[in-house]
Amino acid sequence: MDDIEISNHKTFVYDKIGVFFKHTDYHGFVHPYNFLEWMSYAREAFFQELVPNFMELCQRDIKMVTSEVEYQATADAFFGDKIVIKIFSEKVKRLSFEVIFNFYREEDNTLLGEGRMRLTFLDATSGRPTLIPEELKKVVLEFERKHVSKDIRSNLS
Amino acid sequence: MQKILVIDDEVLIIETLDRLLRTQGYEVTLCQTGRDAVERVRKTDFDLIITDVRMPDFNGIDTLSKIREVLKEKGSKRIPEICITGYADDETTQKAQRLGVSDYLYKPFDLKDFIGRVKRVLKPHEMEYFSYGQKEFVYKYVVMLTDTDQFKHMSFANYLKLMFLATDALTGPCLTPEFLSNIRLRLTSSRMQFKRQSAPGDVIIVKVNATEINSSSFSLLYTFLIESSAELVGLGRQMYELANLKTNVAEPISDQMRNMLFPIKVEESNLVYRY
Repeated sequence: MDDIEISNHKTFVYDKIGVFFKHTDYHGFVHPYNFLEWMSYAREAFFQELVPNFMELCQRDIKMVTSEVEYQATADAFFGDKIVIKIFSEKVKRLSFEVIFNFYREEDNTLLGEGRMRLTFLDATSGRPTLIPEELKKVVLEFERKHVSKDIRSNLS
Repeated sequence: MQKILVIDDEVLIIETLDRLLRTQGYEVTLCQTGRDAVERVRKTDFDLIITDVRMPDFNGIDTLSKIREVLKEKGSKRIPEICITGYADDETTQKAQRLGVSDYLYKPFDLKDFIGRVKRVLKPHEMEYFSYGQKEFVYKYVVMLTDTDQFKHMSFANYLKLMFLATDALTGPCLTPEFLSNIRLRLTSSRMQFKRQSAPGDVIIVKVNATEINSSSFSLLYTFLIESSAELVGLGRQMYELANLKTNVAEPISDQMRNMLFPIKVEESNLVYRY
């Protein structure tokens, strides 16, 4: 990436995943589908732990919708591995933000893959995009990784 | 009011379609020759063209090709096209399939089915997803209660699981025990963009097309639609590569797999909507 990271963002760590046989494929590798499912576990744990009254927020007339998901695999995981997911946010805007998930094998800290999802908010009645709820946005901003392009940086200096 | 151009040399057919389409609220223009139709397209902006394939002089394929040229000259975007033919296997019909029309109907056809297809094709902003124009691999799935969460919708991870299921169904015939003893199909990336949600009971159609076929890797595009309404649920893309299980080195795609992928290959430049 040409951009340079400039923020000291927080990182949420979710380390409650162990690999069992049901997660493995025909050849003994962890099937990539599992990483996508673990993304959903990790984001819910992130919100539940850090956003005050997260469940109450979910009952409001605002729907949190996953509008885009991406996963890039970099290494394989196997039965018995412990998986650690490090989470932070990016591109926090008025109506949406992204959550980044970096998956590591606990034993040797190998990066197994990177996940990314965009979450948007809709008014449940009208179906129109709506602002990110304040209490959620406050948390997400603390975890936001910001970048500045090299060009801008050189102009600043 | 949406405008439909109907082209057929058989008077009985165009009169029947004319009556039927008008009762559904469409404005209909009738032409008995391809040349006449081309001239009409020069002067009028239509929303849909329905043409017979077999016509004397200027057949349906030539007509559609010419109409596309005219639209290009006018700076207009492509119009959805439905071809009607009485010959499912002949060369002209195969040409129509290669041309990439939105839908086909074989005579004799059911009028209710015909209207359903017209409505589906004319759905604003969704027609484009049907315009891949070539064969696609189709996988059907009924959304179950076990797929949904307390917010009554299928979770995002389950849609991605559907991509894997569709891929397994597509590649299944190639994954023989001999193949699997040496080679693995490795996912390198997976993406999905969601347009709407689905609920238990929805039948989801996953259309799979290949967009890139390289020496040892390929990319698949997945179009998720609700079967009953043809509404778009989302678009997905996955990249796979073949790797040797022992060396982890890339393996060339087998002839069998290539033969399975080429019929569903689309040129991305032909897609109105790209992901």
